[in-house]
Order: sequence, then structure tokens, then C-alpha cells
Amino acid sequence: MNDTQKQPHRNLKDVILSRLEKEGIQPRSRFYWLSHEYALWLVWGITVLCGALSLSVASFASLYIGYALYEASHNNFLTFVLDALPYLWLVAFFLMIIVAYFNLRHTKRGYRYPMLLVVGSSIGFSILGGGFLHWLGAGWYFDKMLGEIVPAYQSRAKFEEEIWQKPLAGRLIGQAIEPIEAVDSVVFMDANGVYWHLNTTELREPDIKLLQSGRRVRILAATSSEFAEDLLYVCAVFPWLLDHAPGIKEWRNDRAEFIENVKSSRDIVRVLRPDSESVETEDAPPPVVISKTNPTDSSHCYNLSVFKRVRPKIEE
Amino acid sequence: MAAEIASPGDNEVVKLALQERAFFGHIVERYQEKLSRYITRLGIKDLDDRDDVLQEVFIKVYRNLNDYDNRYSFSAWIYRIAHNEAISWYRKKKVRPEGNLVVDSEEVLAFFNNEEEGAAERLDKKINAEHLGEALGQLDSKYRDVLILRYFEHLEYEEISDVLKLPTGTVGTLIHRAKKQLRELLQKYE
Repeated sequence: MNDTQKQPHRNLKDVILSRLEKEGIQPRSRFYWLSHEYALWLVWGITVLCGALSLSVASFASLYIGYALYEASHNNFLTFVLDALPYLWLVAFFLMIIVAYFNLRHTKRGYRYPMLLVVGSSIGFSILGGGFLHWLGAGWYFDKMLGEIVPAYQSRAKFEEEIWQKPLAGRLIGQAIEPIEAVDSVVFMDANGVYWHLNTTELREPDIKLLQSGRRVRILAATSSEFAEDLLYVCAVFPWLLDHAPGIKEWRNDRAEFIENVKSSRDIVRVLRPDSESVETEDAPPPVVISKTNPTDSSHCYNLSVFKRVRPKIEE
Repeated sequence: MAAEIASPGDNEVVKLALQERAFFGHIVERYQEKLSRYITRLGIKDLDDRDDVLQEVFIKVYRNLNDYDNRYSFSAWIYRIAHNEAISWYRKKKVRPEGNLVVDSEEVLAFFNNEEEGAAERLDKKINAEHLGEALGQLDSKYRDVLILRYFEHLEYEEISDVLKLPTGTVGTLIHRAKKQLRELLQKYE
């Protein structure tokens, strides 16, 4: 042992006590330490709550990514999913989990808990909270609110509009303004405020009713350079669901409606264009020029790719 | 007044020190030797530096006295403050901690050879104490820290967990790995 260890600071006690007195050092209050501890738990709670909120928006956006009608907007499911996944919210959720982890670790006894428990509890509480908030419709509301407040934020509604407000691709969002005098026509105003004359001869009865209800809807329409500029032949009509928090049931109905619509439209196409039977795959050559002079013996919807593609789930 | 109390426990002394500053002297007396040794083992060899660090440790202990939770070990709590203060000292001085374990290598040898982990963990008694000190000095600091606390300061796993702020399971793993690495380092002296 060296000298210092043999004579360990005999006067240290006096030095310390005198310093405490001289410098007026007092123990920090219990309240100070408790508030420090509570602050850490509070921040942990807030991060878990933010994680839950992120998850509720992510789950809303994932459940309502327009899957029901993806064949109408994308070539395949993979491109659709890659396009539609709520990356921002998934990243936000994982960031919140990381922050929550570090917060919990820095609480007084946080280091004692195994990593799995710390991470697991943060994720678990976030999932529970996220599920509850989703059930309350908070995901939809928060997404919508952010979309309105932050111009750069792409809410699910904006995303849907971006996909569906594409006249050249035969997709429109908007509402019927008034039926015009002709029996099979409707004046329609799209999301950009552009007016269209819609021909409804190829629509199913429920779709016509939906269109005439004046509700905001998404439509699939046949377009061709041969058509008059503002005239479209409507092939299918789907309700706009994002004016409220849509539930699973509505989402399923939307999907069922879409399948039913495609099937019916294919039937109509077959009746109107018997030669369409031979054009079943995406690789098939483009159809012959459509006769536009007499729509009763021809189908304008025949041109719409979604009715031509072979989709196992939609095929009869 | 202080003399009237016969060997009170740490928790009682803490309570008294919070009421009357003079009682804090008991804590200083009780831990100055242990902490001085611990700080030395962490590599602060210079006498003046060590005194400075030790003073700061006790000042901090007094200032943070209300933060001590008497459900847990006071010893682990005070070691934690000493550990942090030593690390802060290294940061201020911008030097890397080096162990100074040679003086007690006989002690650690004896401890290893009586450990409950069994024969597989035992080290050769013939190993030169100086070599053991050198090998300990070469260990990663995370391994050296757990070995110091376990085999020199004789702290329990839970106390080490409190000092180093690690889960108890991790402490066990680190000790196991530290011994393995130590055995490998000692092989070159055989």
C-alpha cells in the first residue's frame, strides 16, 4: 500500500463539514428530486402518447390506403403498397419508441429493467393507446387536421385526391351538380372545380343513385381523344369515405362494391362488345377504335384497363 | 450528540444528517477510506487529485442526500456518485482511465479461487500477482469496472447494477465475460 492509503485523509471530515458551512451548501429538496423523476416519467408518458397517436394515424392510413380500389389506380398490389404506406408515421412511431426507451432508462430505477421490458412496455403501451385512439377515430382526425394546417403534409385525403383526380386516366373525384335534361346525363364538378358532362348509360342502378345523391364520389370514367372534351362515360361510382373516420365495415363494403362493379361492368362490356372476350390480359394489343356514334351497341368502358385486366380475386 | 449513537445503520445516519449537518461527518468517516481506495483503483493515482475528487464526491453526496432512496443500498448509491465523479474528472483532464490494481492482486486471486462459480472459473494460484494486475489493467474498462466492484469492493450484483446503472443480468454477463477475457490475457504469462 502506498502512503495515502495508509493515512487516509484524517481531516477530510472537518474539511468537508467546514466547506459545507462556509459555502452554505444545503441538500437539494426532496421536491427537486421528485419533480426530476416525475418529469422523466411525464416525458416518457408523452412520448408513448405521441407514439400511440403516430400509430393511430399509421393504422388509419394503412387500413384506409385505398386498398379496396387499388386495381383502379395501380398496376399491381406491390406498387400500390409502396406508394401508399404511411412512412412518416411509421418513422415517427419508431422515433417515439427510441425516445421513450431513453427516458425510461434515465428514470431512477430505469436501468434495472431489461431492455426487452423497457422497449416492450413502450411499444405495448403505444399499441394499446394507438388502438384506443384509432377506435376513437383520432387517427383520421389528426391526419385530416394536419393536412389542413400543414400544406406540405400529405393527408390520406390528399393522397386519395392525388390518385383519383386524374381525368386523363379516367379517374375523378367530385360531386354531381344537377341532372341535365337528357335522361342519361349528369353535370359533375371535380375536385379542381372543372365541370364535366357525364354519360351514365353504362352505370349500374345503385351507382346512378349514388351519383345523383349529390355526395362526394370517386368515379371511373372512359376517356378518349375521340370524345367531346368535357364528356365522359361513367363506368363505376364509389363513395368518398374520407369525410369521416371510415370503419373496417365500410372499407370492406367499399371493396365488395368495387368487385361487384367490375364484374357487372364486365358483363355490360361483354354484352355491348362480344369481341372483348378475346382481350383479357394486359399484354394484349390495344382495342380497335371504338364507335362513338352509337353507344348502345358499343361499350366505352371497354377501354378502361381495370375492366380488361385479369385479376384473380375479381374474376368470376 | 453524534457520539450517543452506537453504529447506526447508513439509513439512520442519512436521516440524521438531513436534520443536522454534523452527522454527515459519520458518513465521511465511514466511507472515506473505501471511496479513496475505489477512486485509486479507477486510476486516479495522484494524491492531490484523489483528495480533490474525494472532496467533491462528499460535497455531492451531501447535496444529493434527499435523492437517496432508503429502500436500496446506500453503499451502492455513494459508490455511484464516486464513480461518476471519477469519470467527470477524467473528462475534465481529457485522459483515459487506467486501472491501478497491482496492490490488491493477491486479494483478487484469493477471491477468484474461492468463488462459487466453480473450478472452471478458478485461476492458477501460481500466477504472479504483478501479471494479474497488468492483465486487469489491459481489460476493457466495462469489464474492469465490474471486476473492481465485485472482487475488490465486494459489492453484490444488485449493488453493482446500481453503481453502473446496468440491469442485474447484464452485470452477471459482464463479470462472466470479464473473467473469460482475463483468463485469456493471463495465458500469455503462463
